Amino acid sequence: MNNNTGQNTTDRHLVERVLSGDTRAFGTIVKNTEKLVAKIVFEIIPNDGDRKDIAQDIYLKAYQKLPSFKFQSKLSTWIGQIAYNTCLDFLRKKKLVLPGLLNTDNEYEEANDRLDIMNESKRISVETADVFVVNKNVSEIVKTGIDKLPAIYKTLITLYHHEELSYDEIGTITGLPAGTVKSYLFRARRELKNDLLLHYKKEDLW
Amino acid sequence: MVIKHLTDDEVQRYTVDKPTCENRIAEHIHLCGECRSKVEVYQLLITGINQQAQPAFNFNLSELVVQQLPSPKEKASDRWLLWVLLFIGIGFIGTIFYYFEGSFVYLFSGIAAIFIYLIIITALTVITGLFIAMYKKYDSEMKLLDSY
Repeated sequence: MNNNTGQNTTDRHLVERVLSGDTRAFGTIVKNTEKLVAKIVFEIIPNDGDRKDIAQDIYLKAYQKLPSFKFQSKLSTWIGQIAYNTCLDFLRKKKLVLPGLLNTDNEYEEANDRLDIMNESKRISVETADVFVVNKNVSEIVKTGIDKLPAIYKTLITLYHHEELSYDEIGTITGLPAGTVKSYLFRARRELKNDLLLHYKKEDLW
Repeated sequence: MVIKHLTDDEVQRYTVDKPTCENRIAEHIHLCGECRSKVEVYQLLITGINQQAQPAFNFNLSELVVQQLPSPKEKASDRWLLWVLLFIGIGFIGTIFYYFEGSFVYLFSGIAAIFIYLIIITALTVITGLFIAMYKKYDSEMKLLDSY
């Protein structure tokens, strides 16, 4: 709570300095929030060459809109929201589709159900999980699994587990209701778990 | 005896948000080996997620953005400084004229009026030019300092 209040005070101080013409203060805001922005941009924008332009565009938009920031959320969350929307606008302009955003529900539910049935038939036991811990490079398997996830799931996983944002904060950034964020996160993790178990079982046969 | 296993959502909830989980879930996991193993798999997954490399921009974003920002508005303190300098200048010239008025008349009495005007206009032009150049230099240096 105190940490949050301290953050708000810092945000307010920085915003006031920027609005009074101090561009260095905006540089500080960029430095404070670029990790979050990088995570969003990297998960949504596939082309490395586009990321540089988009990152700059995000902050120039934030600078222009800063007088309208009313401190209803953390400054980082507000900038995260601009980042997310800028990335989506970019995809729309390029006529690209953010996988999972348009056809998530049915297709991924079906895929998950298929995986669940397969796993159920194999009856993963306590012992196999233990062997798995010892023998497999979990990080690499999880990375492969994350790469296969729809961009929206990857973004949510990153914001929740790496940035440690709350469901509400992620909801503010993505424009999704907190309940939907929670539900998507559950599905994403289930998909990753299924992928992890399948991977293990497949390799175990060799 | 455990009759019904936990759902996947309950297992996840226990793994990622243990403090807010209902007691029955914690109790079930304590008693049920199969559900406990599912929790372990999720714990492993979370560890794997946390081990993933964090993406970062490979350029100085802050510098790139600040360079593109419109130049800051003239600060109020700068305007005050200008006015103070102007008043000091006027006061200084006024004082000289006040004390040496007689001498000035005597000094310029032998010169044609046209030359006097020419000298005054030239002097004012040079002083104004110097003042503008000095202020521009000061302003550009302040901007340079601001960008660091």
